[in-house]
Amino acid sequence: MTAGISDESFSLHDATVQFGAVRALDGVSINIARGERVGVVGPSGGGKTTLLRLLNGMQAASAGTVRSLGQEIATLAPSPLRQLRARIAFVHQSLALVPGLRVIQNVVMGRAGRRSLARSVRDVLFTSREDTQAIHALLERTGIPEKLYERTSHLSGGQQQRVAVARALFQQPEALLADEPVSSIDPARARDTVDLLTRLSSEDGLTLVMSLHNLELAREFFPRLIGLRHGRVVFDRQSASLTGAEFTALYSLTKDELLADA
Amino acid sequence: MHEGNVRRPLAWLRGARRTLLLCVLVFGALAWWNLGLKTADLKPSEGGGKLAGQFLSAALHPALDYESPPVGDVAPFMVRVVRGCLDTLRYAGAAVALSVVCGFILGFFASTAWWSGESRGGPLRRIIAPVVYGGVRIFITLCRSIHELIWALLFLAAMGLTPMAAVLAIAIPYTGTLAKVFSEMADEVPRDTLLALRAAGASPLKAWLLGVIPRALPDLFSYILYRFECGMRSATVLSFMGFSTIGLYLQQAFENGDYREAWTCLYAMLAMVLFFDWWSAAIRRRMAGRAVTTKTAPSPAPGIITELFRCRPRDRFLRGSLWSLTALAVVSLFTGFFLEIKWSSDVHGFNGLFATDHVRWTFSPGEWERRMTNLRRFMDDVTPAPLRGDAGATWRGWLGGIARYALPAAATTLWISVVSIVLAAMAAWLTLPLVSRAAAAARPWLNAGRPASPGMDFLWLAMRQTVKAVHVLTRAVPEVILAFIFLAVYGGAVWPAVLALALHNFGILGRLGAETLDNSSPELPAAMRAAGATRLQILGLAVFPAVLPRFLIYFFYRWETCLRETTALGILGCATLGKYIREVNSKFRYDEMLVLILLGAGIVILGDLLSALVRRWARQAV
Repeated sequence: MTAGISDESFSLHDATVQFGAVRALDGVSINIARGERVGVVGPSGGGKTTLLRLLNGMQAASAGTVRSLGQEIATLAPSPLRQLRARIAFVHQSLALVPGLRVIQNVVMGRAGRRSLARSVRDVLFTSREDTQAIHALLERTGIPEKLYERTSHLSGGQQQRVAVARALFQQPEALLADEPVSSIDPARARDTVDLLTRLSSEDGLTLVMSLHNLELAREFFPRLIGLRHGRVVFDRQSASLTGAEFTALYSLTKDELLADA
Repeated sequence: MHEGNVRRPLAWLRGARRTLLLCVLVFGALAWWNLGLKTADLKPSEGGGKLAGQFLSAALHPALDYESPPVGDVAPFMVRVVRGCLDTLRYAGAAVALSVVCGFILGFFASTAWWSGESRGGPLRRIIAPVVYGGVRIFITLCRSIHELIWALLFLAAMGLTPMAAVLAIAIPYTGTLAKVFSEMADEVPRDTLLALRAAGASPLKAWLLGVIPRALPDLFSYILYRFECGMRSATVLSFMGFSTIGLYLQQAFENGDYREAWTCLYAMLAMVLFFDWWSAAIRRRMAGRAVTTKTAPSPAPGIITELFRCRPRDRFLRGSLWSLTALAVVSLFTGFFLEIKWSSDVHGFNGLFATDHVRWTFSPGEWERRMTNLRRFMDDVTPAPLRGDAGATWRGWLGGIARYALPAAATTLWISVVSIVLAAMAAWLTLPLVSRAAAAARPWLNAGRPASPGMDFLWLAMRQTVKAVHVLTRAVPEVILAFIFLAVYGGAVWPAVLALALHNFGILGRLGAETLDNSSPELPAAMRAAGATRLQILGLAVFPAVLPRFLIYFFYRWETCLRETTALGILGCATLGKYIREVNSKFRYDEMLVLILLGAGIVILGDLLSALVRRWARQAV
């Protein structure tokens, strides 16, 4: 199933992303192994989202190399790039669900990258029996099986989050990228969601890379943490070995930043 | 405190909005003066007055049978009316069905959602996509800048009096409009689903179909129904080109002086238009309040999929609407476009309603050949005379000859559209205080407090409903029918067009304005009311300034449409470009006709651009 020989999921070498005058990522080098669970932390604008977008090729690197699931992204033509993306699921901060559709219709879209155009449209209109069963099983794993045919807009925020997770898993990915999936929900639900994502991805043996703001959750659920600030890697270590001072340094504002904010 | 911070009365009138409002008024006055309009001419001649009286008094007694015994072998009156309605319905249905399909495809290319939104991109994103996008946008603008009636004139010349000509004449401008509206809806939808699907490896088209269309669907659906409503009007009006829609019987009855028959046809048309109006509004309401319509079933066992499916929430009305609309589209496509049906006139009573003389395929080989020959001849005829090598024809002489009458006619077209829309807007805005739910009440802008007397409440309610009905009715009648009637009453060449356009647009602007007024914030008016301000003070100082930008947006949007319609009204004999288009058409000078049509389209496109610029600018002030 996989093209790569190595046991590496992602590998960045000296990757830089430049937006006009702003350097969103500055010479980042990271290796993430298959099945590894990595948290990405750091202040807003530090480059977390850009890093995740680099990993599935939604963002091209201005310099350096990015290898995902054994393939060098810069060398891929549009079609192989789409095939690669179909193997990587992405849970967005905004969930990106269609509110007017039923839960099953939203989840079945997860496999649109793997199926033909006609099949994908048919899936949404008349979901096959096998898919329905698979989606129902996934919803059971995420805890909302009874919502299978419910309109997505009728669900609570936490339930919608579970739909987004189910859609990502229905994609049958080898890796899961999650961009601040819990930044807009309350702390109790945030813990639930991070727990759910880490549990499900380790059950399926997926590589999980998640960016998040909440340091406590990051430390609790991720054995390895990467700190990003100003587009540079501040630390990349076992979370157990990280000290409180290092976290404070990651988030503390310099004098210039304080003045800029005022 | 700065001097500039002191609020002077009418301070809002300073600056850009004042300039715009003044421009509109100055242009209105200029147009009035240029056209030489006199209010004295609004008093009809003796004959016209008598005709108007007879026509209006017939309104209460629509005919159920021929008023005078018909000559020759014709179907019973009511059979003719029902067939007229069916023809209107099938032409409109076929045209809308075609234009939805074509408009959907073109709308995809005319939206930015399919090619933007990713940082990577090869030649597709950088060169091909913008070129395709721009080309499609120009094409759809051209499609909709020519009125249905003018398209019909072109197709009649090219392929003769066949239903296909009627359907294409409506379908082409509608394709342009639908493509534009679809693309705008698609571009306004949040992009997150589209991007999420792209991130999951979906191709641009797939991501657009799955991520954008379902999100735009509610608006799209109710807009398509609105197009059906417009289609009924357009198909009715095509009767002026000889198609057997309900308008034809209306026109014949009117010209024969059988006004009671004319009213029957008018009522039948109104019923169809208002039905679609109601349907579209009902769907919009359902979709907006979807949560309310959901059936709450006893919670099923979460483990059994079939149980869950059986108890899924659904809306029977929406589902039924979708299926009936699809059925209507398919049936009309076959009966109105792919088949040519000629009704039999040898019928007695309603049993023969569906009796036909012949039914044949539009695209049968023989028919096709005949039409292609016709088309080839037409293509020869539209080649400009100097290019064709006609004896003595020079470019200078040919174009000069056209310009001599076309340019004044173009100017008249422009002025008529300006006067009409300014009159329509003034009349519509004056009625707004009488129709807005907040303002037209016994105790305006105050929900709390002492209830007014039930009698007063009822009177206000009655007035609101009456004005609203006037808006709805004037909007429901096509401006071409109005112009046709006014031409018979006044006989002049300018006032009928102005009156017809002003009246129809009065209805539209009145309705849009009332919606805006009811959606505007009630806080300031309520505070002023509590402080003892009068109704007029509140309207003038709080409400009008708040809604003015939106009013201006609607005003310019309607003016753009009005310009297109003014050109077409000439076909009936009003002094606009359409008059000359028809004239050279009847002389088979198709090359000149094409120049005139393109000139008309050019004016509309310029108006379109100007209106788009002004609207974008006004929108920033909202």
